Amino acid sequence: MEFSQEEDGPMSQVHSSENGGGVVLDAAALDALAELGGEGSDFVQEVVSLFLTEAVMRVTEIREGLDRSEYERVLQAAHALKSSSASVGAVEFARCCGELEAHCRSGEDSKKVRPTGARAVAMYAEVQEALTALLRES
Amino acid sequence: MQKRTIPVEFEELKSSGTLPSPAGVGIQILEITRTDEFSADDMSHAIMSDSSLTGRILELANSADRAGQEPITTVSAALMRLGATTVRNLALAFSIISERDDAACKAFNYPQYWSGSLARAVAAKALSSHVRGVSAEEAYVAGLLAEVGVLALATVHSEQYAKVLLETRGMPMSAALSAENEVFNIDRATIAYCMMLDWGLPVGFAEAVENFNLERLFSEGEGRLGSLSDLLRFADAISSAMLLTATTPSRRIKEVGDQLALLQQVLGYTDKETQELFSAVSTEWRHWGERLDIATYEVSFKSVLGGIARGRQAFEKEQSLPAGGGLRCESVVAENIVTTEDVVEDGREFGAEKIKVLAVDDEPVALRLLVTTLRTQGFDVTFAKNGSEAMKVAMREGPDIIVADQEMPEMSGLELTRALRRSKRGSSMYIVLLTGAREEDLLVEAFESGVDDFVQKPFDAQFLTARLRAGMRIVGLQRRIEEDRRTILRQLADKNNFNRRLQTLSLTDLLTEVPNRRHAMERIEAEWKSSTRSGSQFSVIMIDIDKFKGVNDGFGHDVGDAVLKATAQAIKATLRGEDQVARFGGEEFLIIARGARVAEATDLAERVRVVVEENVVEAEGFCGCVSLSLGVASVEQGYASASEMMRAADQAVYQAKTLGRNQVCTARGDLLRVEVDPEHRKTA
Repeated sequence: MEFSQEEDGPMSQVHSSENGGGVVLDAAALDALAELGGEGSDFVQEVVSLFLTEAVMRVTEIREGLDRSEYERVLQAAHALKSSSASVGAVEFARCCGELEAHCRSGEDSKKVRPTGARAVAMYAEVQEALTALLRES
Repeated sequence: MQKRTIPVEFEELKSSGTLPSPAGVGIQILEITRTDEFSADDMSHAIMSDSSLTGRILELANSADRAGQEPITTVSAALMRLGATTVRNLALAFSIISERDDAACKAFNYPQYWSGSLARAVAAKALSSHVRGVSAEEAYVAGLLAEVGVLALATVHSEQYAKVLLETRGMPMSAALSAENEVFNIDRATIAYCMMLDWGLPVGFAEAVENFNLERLFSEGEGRLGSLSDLLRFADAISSAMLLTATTPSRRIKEVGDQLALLQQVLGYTDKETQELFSAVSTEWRHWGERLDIATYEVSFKSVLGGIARGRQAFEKEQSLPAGGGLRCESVVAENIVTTEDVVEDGREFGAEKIKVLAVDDEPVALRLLVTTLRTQGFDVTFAKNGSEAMKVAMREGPDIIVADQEMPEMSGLELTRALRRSKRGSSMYIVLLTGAREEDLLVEAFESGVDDFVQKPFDAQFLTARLRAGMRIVGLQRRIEEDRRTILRQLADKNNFNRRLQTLSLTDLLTEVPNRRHAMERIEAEWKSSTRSGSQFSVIMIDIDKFKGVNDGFGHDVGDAVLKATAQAIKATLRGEDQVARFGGEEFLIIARGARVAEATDLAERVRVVVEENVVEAEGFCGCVSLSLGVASVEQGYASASEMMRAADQAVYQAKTLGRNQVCTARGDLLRVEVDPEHRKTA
């Protein structure tokens, strides 16, 4: 990832972010997910894998949309990422995607699209790493 | 061509409200094309409001063999190329398929019915180039709807028809038709004819379908494919061959095999060409099955040939058995029935009241979460990844509830709702949209489009479930109302049928099975009225059996009854189509001859006299003929009332008796001056 700023190895338990200051993955959301799947199931792994596959394409959409100033594409991708990332506990990233979507929607805030978009892309790298680690641990 | 009168039995089926019928766009199209001068523009707009319908029509328009023509891409181009009537008929046929309800009659195998109909349609289309004046699309529609009369009976009179189907299983087609007439006073052929006319299809088209239902087999004498009904016969043979199963009666298999051989001969095809035709049909069958959500499967020509060969062997074996001997090889009732065991199994499924939910979201993660949440809450969940897939699944599975994401590319939740609400099945589903936080402005539009409820994303599992349970209470109530309505309508149809049979009974003489005196008097009153109104002619012939008392006294009442029966039948067999005979009293009969003046009625009376005079009656201890005395009176003679005319006829009979019996006398319009027609004088 060209935007990746994380050089260290995966952080095992505490997933803190360099971009938002908060945690990368919210344990409560992940617990809720595990609870939904029921005991002994690999439901969390399944959803996380689904998310990772999907998110790669969406983030690419955001990058390309930013490069070509095609904000509608950015908007669609941010909207989709907003809800799915919240489901896998990436709350900070979800919030960032929400802001990005809002900026794309309102014409006045178009100046903010670019920096927020770049931040989202950078944050995703952290999320990806944290989730991959999570998969590896289980 | 003259349209026939629609029988009251069909009107009753129709008023049951459960006949297979188009809905949504189909109804719109029916409305638009009620008159002859409909606008093609209006129709193309109606069709285009339904994207799947548009797609199917364009696909069919492009799939027919039209070498060198550009593919068409718009409904108006399809209208130009195929003509408005053809497009309209296609739209109706597709709309009827998408409205199909596969649960009404438990003994009827709906999936097989539709698979067979689709195969027949595709086969008819493939054969259409061999019949002049029949277009590929017309053949397709005819094939698809050819057995709609069976479908109608199964849907309206489900339980009674289930019995008829089981009783006539494996029997010749003529037996099925007469069983239907026996029980419902109408048969599949007449119903199909009436439905076609009701949908505004041309009379010629309706007649072809009716003919096919009356005679399912192409007869060898024809030599060539001359008409749409012949086309249907062969298409039916091809489709039946494709749908042969282990339970198909061997007679039917032999019949199908014979028809296919005949087809090959009529078309002048080699084995290889026949095989090519067959595989082209089966490929297209599979393709359309997928498009219309109708079950199809892989069929190979080789396996069909093998099946036919085995069927023939089994048939010959049956024939050589003494019990099976003498069976006539007529068409055999189609295998659209579920066996009794299947019915029981079905019933179990009906009893299990798990609520079916269809979850729709284009986001894999969100969809997975939604599905899991709903399953955890005990719902029976299916899912779809976009709007058009959801539409398909909804039509196939008939879920109770649909939970759909509003924001989806191509077809949004709102558009999905609108499409569902246009269909009969979809109109009763409970639809919940999942919306983002900022979509309140959507509410009014969404409710107007038919959305039942909203849940905001991200949703809380408990909250969503509570909303769905609340929705289910409404669905449950609606369903109960709909069930009650159906039951009432069915009972009404049954009651009408029962009443009509009672009425027929009350107007029939039980011994001779011809109409009784009451019926005759009603008819005479009606004829009299119409004659005073429009000046139409009619005559009555009063008949008395000579020396009948002697038969009764000498041979007993049983012989007397046999004589009465035989005489009634002999008279009946002599009449023209518009005449009617009734038993008027003990040994008295009456003929009402519509349109007949004195001379024609007198001739008719003389014919009857001769026939009965020569008709040998055999009964216990009795073998001989009886003679008749007949009196003719006609409107032409200027009577003041119907009863005056009847009195004159009575007087003429009396005259015939006094002149020596076994003769015809004609009243002369003057009661006091009944004269004998010298030409018809005969001595007993």
